Amino acid sequence: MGKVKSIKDLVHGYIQLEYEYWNIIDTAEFQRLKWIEQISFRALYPSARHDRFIHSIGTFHLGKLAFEGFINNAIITLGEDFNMYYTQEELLNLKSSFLSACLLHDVGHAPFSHTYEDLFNYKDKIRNDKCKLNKLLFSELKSNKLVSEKEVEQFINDYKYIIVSESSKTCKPPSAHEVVSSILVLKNSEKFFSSFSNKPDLILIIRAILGCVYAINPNVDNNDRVIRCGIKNCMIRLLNSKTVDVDKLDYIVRDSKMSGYENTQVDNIRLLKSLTVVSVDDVLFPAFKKSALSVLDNVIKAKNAQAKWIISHPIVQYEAYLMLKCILVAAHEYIHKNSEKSEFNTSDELIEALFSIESLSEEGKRIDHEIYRLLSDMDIIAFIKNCYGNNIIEEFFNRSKRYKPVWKSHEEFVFLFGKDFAKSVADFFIPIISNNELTEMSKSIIVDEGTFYKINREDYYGAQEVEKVLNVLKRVSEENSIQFSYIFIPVKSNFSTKIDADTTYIQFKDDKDSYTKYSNILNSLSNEAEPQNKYEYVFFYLYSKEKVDKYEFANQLKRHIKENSIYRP
Amino acid sequence: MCRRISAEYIIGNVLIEALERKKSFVDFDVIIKVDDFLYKELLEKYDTFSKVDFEDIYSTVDNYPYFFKAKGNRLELAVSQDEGELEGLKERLLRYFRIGLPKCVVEAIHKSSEMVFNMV
Repeated sequence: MGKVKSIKDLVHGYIQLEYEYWNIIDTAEFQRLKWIEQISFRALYPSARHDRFIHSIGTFHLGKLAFEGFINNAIITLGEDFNMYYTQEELLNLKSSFLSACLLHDVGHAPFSHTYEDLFNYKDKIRNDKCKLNKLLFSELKSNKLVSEKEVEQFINDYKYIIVSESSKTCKPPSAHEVVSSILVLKNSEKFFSSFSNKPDLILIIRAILGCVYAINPNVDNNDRVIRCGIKNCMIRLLNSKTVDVDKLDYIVRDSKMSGYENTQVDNIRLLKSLTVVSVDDVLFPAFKKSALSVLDNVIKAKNAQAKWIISHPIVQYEAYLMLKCILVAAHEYIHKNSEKSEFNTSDELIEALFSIESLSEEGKRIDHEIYRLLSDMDIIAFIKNCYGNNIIEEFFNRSKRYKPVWKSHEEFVFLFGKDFAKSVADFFIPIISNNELTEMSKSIIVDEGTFYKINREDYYGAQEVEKVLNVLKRVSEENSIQFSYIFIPVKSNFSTKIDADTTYIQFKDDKDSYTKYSNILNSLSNEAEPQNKYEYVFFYLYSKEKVDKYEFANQLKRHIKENSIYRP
Repeated sequence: MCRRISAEYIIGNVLIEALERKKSFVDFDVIIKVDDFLYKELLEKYDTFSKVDFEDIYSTVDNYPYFFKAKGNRLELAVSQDEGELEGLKERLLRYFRIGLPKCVVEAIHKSSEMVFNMV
């Protein structure tokens, strides 16, 4: 056994890291993750200061437990088949490749994580294999010496399938940060893996980060490929899939623990020890033994509770809106102030340069007279601060200037308007909520005096409908003597988890063919994987510039809607 | 800053176009093809872009379960084939997905949908 270092993590306790992984962690690209906020809960839970750095190490730790649990049970379940196809040396290689992927899966995250993720690929679509990020991924693969031509060709075919995988219930298309992470791993592969005596399987690492499984056809492929690629696909799914994976398991527990939000307990050790393998139509899939059913149930409860009570909280939603708005406004202000000396003509060009692969690297990206390197939250904050003076930006830094939500949950919305009338209120505001002229990238809608001028034109479909709704809101503002200045943020109807019960398998006996889909047995459990609380209408938060008496405000709104509603669902 | 039309508006409008052709469903591929045509048209002419992915179709189904359901590779309207009900639904779809869209965008969606519907 080589040198091992251990670090103490508040979530998992002591995490053992073998020497070769330290080399990855010490690189500037990985250290950058210390300045990438894990998730924007801080507006609601100030202690949620955890970052992508510790989440990546936590995922690595759970990856180790998952690998051990899976292999131990797979050997029992597959018996001879397993030992025939995987030698001890190959198994070690499989392990180091999987763990490297766990460690590096988020290395390409944008500052402020998912809030800015879309800016990597602003106008492009990942499903288009010729989009900028995909072209870069393919070219990095083709030029990498650790990957063979055949592997690249096979990967590109499989990747093209998953990016348009509408027919596949078993894989999900990659997101922008996963493609960026893969590009960074390829660009830095020599540096990252220089300490490994046995070079890890680079293509497996890339596939695991992207969730890009090997295409297997048991009717055509030989047994060797079916088992070898089948096991590799299990590794890919253990890190990135539509079902429970180590990435999700780490953030579900970490986000709640670090925020201080009391959530359902998840016994990760019991769950990961129960990992095994089953054969679904002769294709291998990871599965959980029946002993883990109670934990699985808790994972889904915890994930749903987090989605409903934290991610969908009006303060968290507002923070995300402001963050996105701020960078767009700051880019615009920058171009405006530097129009004569900047090499960029539009804010779009500037955003593209700022959120580029180069700006994540040590070498960096020159933006006029400055070099942006290892781009992190701090760079973005500094960039935004330079445009202080703009209302939106001041609002971001000065909390007293922020708009305030009139209601703070769907339950309160129903209480204020009554169960029978809540739907009519939501439907009444639809012309504003769905108005594309008023929405921005984040789907937030700003409504004030200027809105009348924006929509009062002949070239908008149903502009008079929008105007009617605006008039009601204006009258209510006047009656309450508050400023006619509001922001609407629609909330997703579905709080349910992304854990797909159809592709989560439960094994009842130590036999690869003895399994059932989790969805088949959900009725006897809590049925939490099936969303119970989908709205029957588009639910939204309404934020007012001034503090309002919510009961008075709701009553007046109700009265006006009753008088003005031309549409009764 | 270039404008973006949300995926769900494109999806909702393609369903409206289908309803106008007396169809209560659309294949995922059709939506994606319409979006591909639309993307070019909107970006070139109006500095606006659309971005529909398969995940967007699933999330639209999740967000509007009272309008849509997904069956295999097909997006279906969550109503019976009763003509009166379909008419009422169309009115709601128009309110939810068309009001507030620039008329030029509605026209571009119509043009792209027509091309794709004629192809299949």
